[in-house]
Amino acid sequence: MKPLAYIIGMKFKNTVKELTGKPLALILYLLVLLGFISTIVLSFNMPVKSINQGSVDTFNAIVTAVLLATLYLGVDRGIEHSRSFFRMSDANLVFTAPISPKKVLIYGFVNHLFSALVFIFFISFQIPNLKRNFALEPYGLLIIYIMLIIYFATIQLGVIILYSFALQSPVVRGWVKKTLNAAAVLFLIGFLSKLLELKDVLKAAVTYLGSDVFNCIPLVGWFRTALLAAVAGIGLSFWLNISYIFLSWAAMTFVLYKANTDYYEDVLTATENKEELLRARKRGKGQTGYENSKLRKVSQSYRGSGASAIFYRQVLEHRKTGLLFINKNTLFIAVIGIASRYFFPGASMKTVLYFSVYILFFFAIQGKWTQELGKPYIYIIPASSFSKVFCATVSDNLKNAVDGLILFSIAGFMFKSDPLTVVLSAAAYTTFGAIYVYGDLLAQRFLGSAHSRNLKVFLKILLILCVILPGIAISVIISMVFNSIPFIDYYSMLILIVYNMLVSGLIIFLNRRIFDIIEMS
Amino acid sequence: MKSGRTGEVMLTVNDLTKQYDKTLAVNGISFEVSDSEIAVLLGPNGAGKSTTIKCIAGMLRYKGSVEICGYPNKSIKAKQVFGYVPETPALYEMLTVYEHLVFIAHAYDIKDYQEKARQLLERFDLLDKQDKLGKELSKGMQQKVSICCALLMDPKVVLFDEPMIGLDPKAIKELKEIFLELKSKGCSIIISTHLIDSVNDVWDKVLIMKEGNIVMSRLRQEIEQSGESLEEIFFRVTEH
Repeated sequence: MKPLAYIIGMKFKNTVKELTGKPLALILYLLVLLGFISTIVLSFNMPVKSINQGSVDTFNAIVTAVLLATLYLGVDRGIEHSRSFFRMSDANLVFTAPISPKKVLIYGFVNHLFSALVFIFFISFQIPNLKRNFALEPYGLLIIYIMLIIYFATIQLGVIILYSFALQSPVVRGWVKKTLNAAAVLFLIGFLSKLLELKDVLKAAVTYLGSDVFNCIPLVGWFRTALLAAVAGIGLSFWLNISYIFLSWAAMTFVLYKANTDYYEDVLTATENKEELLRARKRGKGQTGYENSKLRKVSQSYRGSGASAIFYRQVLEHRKTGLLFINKNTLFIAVIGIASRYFFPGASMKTVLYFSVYILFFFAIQGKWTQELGKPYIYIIPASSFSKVFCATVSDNLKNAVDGLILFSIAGFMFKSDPLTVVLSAAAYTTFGAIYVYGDLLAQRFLGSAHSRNLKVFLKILLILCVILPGIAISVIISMVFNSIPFIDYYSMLILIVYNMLVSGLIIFLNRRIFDIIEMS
Repeated sequence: MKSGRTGEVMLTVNDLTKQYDKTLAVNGISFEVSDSEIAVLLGPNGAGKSTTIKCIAGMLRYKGSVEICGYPNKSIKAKQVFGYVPETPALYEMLTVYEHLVFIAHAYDIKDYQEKARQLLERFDLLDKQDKLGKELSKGMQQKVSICCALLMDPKVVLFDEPMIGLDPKAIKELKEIFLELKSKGCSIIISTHLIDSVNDVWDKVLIMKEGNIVMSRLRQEIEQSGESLEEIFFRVTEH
C-alpha cells in the first residue's frame, strides 16, 4: 500500500501547494471550508426555537427517503459506465504496477471517500430544519452525522463488491439495472396506492415511508432504526442494528478480500468516460444528460446560412432528444416546480416560479449556449459576433418558454390561477432563463481568464445574482407599496419581466462583439 | 500583395504574442505563407505551435496581427476562406457524420455540397459511417470528420494542428495527397506537427519553433542546398 498511500499524500500536498500560488482560489476554498465547519458547529449549537411539532413517524419517513434515495443513486451510478473510482493516470500507472488489485480497489475507495464530505456538507444545511421541527436528543445530531457517513461509505463499499462480482458482466449488469428499476417502480406503485387511499400527499408519504416493511431491506432497515435513536433515544434496537452494520462491514471486507479482482477491463471504460466528463467540467461544462440516451432519427431542413445554421443544428439536437423542445428536462422541471407546492407551506404560483427559476440555473449551465462555446465551430463560422450570440441562444430561450408554459399551465391548474397569471409566470420564467444565458456572456467576458473553473462558476453565480436581485427587489417593493392597487400582482410580475428583458438586452448589446474578445474554453 | 517567393501572400502573421498568466507561449513571431505553399510549424512539445495555430484561427486573444488573404483573421471575410482542423477533434455528440457536413455547408453557405461531401467521405472511408453519431466514433474517425468539415468549403488557407495524430496509414496517405492537391489549386497550408517524417515529402517552408520563438525559418531549396536533412537541422536548432 506504500506507493498508493504516497500518491494520495502527494495529491493532497500538491493541491495545497498549488492553491497557495492562487490566493483568490485559496481564499474561496478557505471560505467554503470555514462555512462547512461553522455550519456543522452551528448545527450543534443553534438554539431550538421550535415547538418541535414533528412526529417520530415524520422523522422516520424523512430518514427512509434519504436512505432509499442514496441507495438507489449509489447502485444506479455503480452500474453506469460513468462511475469509476479511478482516473486515467491510475489506469495507466497503478493498474500496470506490481500491486495487488485488491489494494488498488481499496485505494480507489479511499480516494472516493471525499465525496462523503460533500454529502455531509449538503446534509448539514438541512440540520436547522430538523432541529426546528423535531425534538432531537442531545446526542441526536452526532448520531445523524456519524450514521450517515457510515451509510455513505457502506454503499461505496457495496458498489465496489458489486463491481468485483457482478458488474463485470454486461448481462448481469443489465439484470441488476432491471431489478433496481423494478424495485423503484414497485416503490412508486406502493406510494401511489397509498396516495389514492389517503388522498393527501404528505400523509401518504409519512405513512408509506414510515412503514415497517422498509426495515426488512438490509442496510436501509438497520441504518433507519439506528438513525431513529436521534429522536427516540438509544435503546436495545439501536445497539442491535449497529451490530448488524458492523457485521455487514466485516462480511463485506471478507468478500472483498476473496473477490475476483480481474476488474481492470470493466473499470477502464468507466474511467475513460469519467476522464471525459472531468475534462468537460474543467472546461466549465457539465454533462448534457443525454450521453447514454438513445436518439431519435429525425432530419432537419436549414433555412438561411451563416450563424442561423447553429440555430437549426441545435433544433435538430433538441428533436433528437425529445419532442422538439419538450424533453426529460421539461418533465423534471415540471415535477420539481409542482413539488415545490408541497415543500413550502402556503405555496403560490410565485413559489413555483422562484423555486423553478432556482432549478433552472443548473439547467442553464448545461444549455446549448455553454456547450457551443466548447467547440471550435462557433468561433470560425463566417458570421458576425452578434448573429452568433443571437442564433446560438435562441433555442435555449425557446426551450425555456416552452418549459415555462408547460410548468405554469399545470401549476395554474393546481392553484386555480387565471390564464393571465399563467402566461405572466411563464414569461417571467423565460426571461430569468434569458438572464442566465446572457449572464454567461458577462462571465465569459470578465471571468474568462479566472484560474480555477470552480472559482469561475462561483463568481458567475454571484454575478448573475447581482443582475437578477434588483429586478426581484423592485417587483417585491412595488407590490408591497402599492398593494391596494387592483391587479398589482400582474403589474409586479410585468415589472419583473420588463426588467429581465431590459437587462438581457443590455447585456447582449454590450457584448455584441464578444467573439472578438473571448477565447475558446 | 506579393511574397518574395511563390506568389500572393495568403497568411501574414506579424509580431504575434500570446501570454498565459506568467507563461509566454508565443513570443512576437512573424511569418508569411504564400499561395500554393505548404508551411510546417515544427517544434518540440510546448514550443508554442498549437497556440500559434489557435491564434491564427481566432480562438485565442493575442497581441500582434494576423491577416488571412489580406483580411484580419477574426473578420467574416477571413473566416469565409480558411479551414481549421483542431488538434483534438471536437464533434457534436448528437450529430451524425453526414449531419456535420450539412451543418458546415449551411454555416459556410456552400451550395451543391452533396457530391463534394460524398467524395470526401469516400476518400476517408467514412461513407459507411455517415449515419454514425459523433460520440460513437473513435478518435481517429473523429479526426477524419474534422478534416472533411474543414475541406468541404474549398478553403484558400487551411490550418492543420497535428492532423496525423490518430489517423490510420491510409488516411495519412490520403491526407498527404490532399495537401498536394490543395497546393496545386493555389491553397496555402499550415501544418503544426512534431512528427517530422509525416510531412517530410510535402513541405515547402519550415518554421521551427522553440520556447515560443521561431528559431529557424527556411525554404525547402535552402535546406536541400545546405546538405543537411530536416531532422538534423531540427535537432541542431532545438537542442541548444
